[in-house]
Amino acid sequence: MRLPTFFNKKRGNRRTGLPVWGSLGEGIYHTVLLMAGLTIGVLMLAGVAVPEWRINNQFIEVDGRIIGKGLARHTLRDVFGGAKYSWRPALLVQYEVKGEKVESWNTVHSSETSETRVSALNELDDWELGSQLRCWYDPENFETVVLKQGYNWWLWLLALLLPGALVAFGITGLLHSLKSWGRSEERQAAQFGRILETLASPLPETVGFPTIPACDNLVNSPGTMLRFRLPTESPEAWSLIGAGLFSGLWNVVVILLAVNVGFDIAGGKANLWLLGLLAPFIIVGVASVAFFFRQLIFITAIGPTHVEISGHPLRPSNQYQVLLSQAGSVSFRKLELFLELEEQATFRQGTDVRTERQVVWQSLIRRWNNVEPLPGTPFEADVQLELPTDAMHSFSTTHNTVSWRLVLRGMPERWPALVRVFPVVVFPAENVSAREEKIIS
Amino acid sequence: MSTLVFQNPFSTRFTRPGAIPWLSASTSLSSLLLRLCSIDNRAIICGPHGSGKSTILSHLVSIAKRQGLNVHCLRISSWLDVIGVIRLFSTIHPKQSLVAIDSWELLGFLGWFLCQIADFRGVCVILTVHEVPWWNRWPVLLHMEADAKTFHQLVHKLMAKSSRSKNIKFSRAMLHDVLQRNSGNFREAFFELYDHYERQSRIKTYAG
Amino acid sequence: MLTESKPMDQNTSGSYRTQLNPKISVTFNRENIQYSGGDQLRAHYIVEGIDPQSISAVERSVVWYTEGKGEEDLGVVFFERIQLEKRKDGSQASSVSLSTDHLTGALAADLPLSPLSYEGIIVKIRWCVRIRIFFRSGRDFVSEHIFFLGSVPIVRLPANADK
Repeated sequence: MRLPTFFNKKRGNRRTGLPVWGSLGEGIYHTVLLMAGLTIGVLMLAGVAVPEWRINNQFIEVDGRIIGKGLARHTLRDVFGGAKYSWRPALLVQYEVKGEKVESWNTVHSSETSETRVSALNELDDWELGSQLRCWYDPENFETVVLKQGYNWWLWLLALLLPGALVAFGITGLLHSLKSWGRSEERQAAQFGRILETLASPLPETVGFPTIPACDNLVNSPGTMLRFRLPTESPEAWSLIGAGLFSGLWNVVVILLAVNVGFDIAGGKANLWLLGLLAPFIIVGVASVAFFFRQLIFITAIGPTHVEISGHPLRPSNQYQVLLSQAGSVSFRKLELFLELEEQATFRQGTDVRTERQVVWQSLIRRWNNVEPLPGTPFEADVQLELPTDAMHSFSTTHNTVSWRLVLRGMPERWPALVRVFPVVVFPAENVSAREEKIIS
Repeated sequence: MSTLVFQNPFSTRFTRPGAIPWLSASTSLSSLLLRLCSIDNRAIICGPHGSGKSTILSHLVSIAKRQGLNVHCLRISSWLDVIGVIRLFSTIHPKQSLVAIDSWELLGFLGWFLCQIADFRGVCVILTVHEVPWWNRWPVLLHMEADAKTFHQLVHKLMAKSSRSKNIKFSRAMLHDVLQRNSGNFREAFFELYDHYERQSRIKTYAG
Repeated sequence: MLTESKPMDQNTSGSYRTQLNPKISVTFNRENIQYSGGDQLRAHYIVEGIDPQSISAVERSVVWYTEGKGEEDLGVVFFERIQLEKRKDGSQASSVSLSTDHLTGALAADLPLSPLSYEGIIVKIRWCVRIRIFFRSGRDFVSEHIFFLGSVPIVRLPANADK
């Protein structure tokens, strides 16, 4: 008897083997991942969240007095047998519990650990012997006392990161196993496809029109003159956000490095390696700030572009009124408004992921030459847009899209070329969709 | 209304591993499997991007299945797949199974650890990698290289099988240029031929 | 010159294939195989060249798929699997019939309003009827027969595509 195979590999359009066993194996595997994630999550929460919660909700507040000071030393041994020490201030606190005096050592919170004994000793100077302070003790163990309450949210995040990932893998894998239990690809796509594929599909679909992306986000913004205002996919906006994020993060690192170097120099010891690293970091940091501000000035000078349209979604053969408004003080040598159809295809094989885009149809709606906006007044133009009778509708699936968009291309004076994209959704022609259930109004 | 179909023989559905034939005058698939048995059942197929590693792995898997082996296939997409590989190596019957794993290099150094498990259990494994890892002790079953002759033959076969137009042809010189331009990467070369075929088929249609 | 669509039998490639594949022909209720959204597609198929006793199951489906430079996406609007140990009569699915020797059958499906057939440059959308035969030996064979939904014309190359 031939043993069942656990995995199948699709060869061309044929699949051989027994998928049932493969689905069972996958299901068990993902169940294990899910259970491991839940178990680890519970354990981590119990180790992190529960103690913190108890400190904040169950510990009893009491007035205490510092009657002793000291240092707690922590030793970290490396693989070569060497040891690294860190120091933490410790306080002997006296407080009263049910009429009886209790004394207990409390080490200050772990974030206040020092690498040098001297700095830990300096921290101890902040606490005076005999001084009063507020503290909280554990009603289940009187000798456990803390000097501050609160939550370390980042610790919670770290604690839940790994179990969260395992749970996510387990759940998605289980759903996939259930979906594909011993089924051919057509059967998989047919039986669970619409429900579960929607969860993974790149864009929600319009009801009644499979694979046509929903245009809720495109019709939820009313225009001032026309019915709808279209959102923009502006490349320079993303460029600005990217530049800002990079510049911010990079310069935070630079500042931290510089402060560290400054402290070293002030302490009389200069780390040459760190100094050498700082110079190129500062150069990149300054350049990134300059780039960010250049982008900001560019966007501010050019100003926002608004496009309003009289109807949406669009249908072939229909005519639409389009209002273009270009703000800013910059003059344009040329401004052009296009209607374009773009195809996008994504292919993944091993480590190769390639996405290709191609504009397959383009129509110039209107061109304006030598546009000079009046101060304080945006440039506005009213144009008519007509879709071809046999235009393809918008299409969006996991790896392939066919999308329509209005594109404004401009050549500003003394600035780089401008491209602003306004996606639109096109439905099939009305005579094809005579049985449609929903009309967006 | 048009009922024309521009079936492009270089579409991904015809060029992906498993859909494209294995062509080699010097090496047969059966002899490769025999060689695998003679070198302790664990080996590597290495070669650059788009050289046909996944394709030959797919065909070896087919041969192995026809010879009665239980074949298990995995395509690694990230280091997280190490869990799946551990599970596979630990649970299968080593004497009756062949494990074929694509894109092994994505596991990084975890791959060494998994190789020890395979060695310990005596699992029959074929891996594909771009370059032989420094820690690797398994023999190389096949080193894939960009071969212009094979490329020409593949193009000819794809055109014969999937092309709907008899008027579109590619000269040897042109194919040689395409392969060179893409540094021997068959996959990228097919993508470029896709564009050429698409352009020519439309030009011929509208001209005719 | 390009011709009208022909059925595409998905024979596996490679000289090591020794088993014979069946020949499956499909006839549509529209001669020009052109449909509009909302129409009902009816198709009749015949399987030839194999022993009927060797068939363990038949799957009939109406699907659309993408072709081009991206990975294939697939959508199913009609699917039926017939396990031949337990025969299903027409009362379970009134649009389906299967002959006693499993070699002929018919199906019907209401076509959706989208996606329409599309011959783009790097993305194409094709509609087809798929007949998948499962053999008792474990292997399977699939045959695709293209039809057209909608009348979107072929995309012409952009004007600057002369490289």
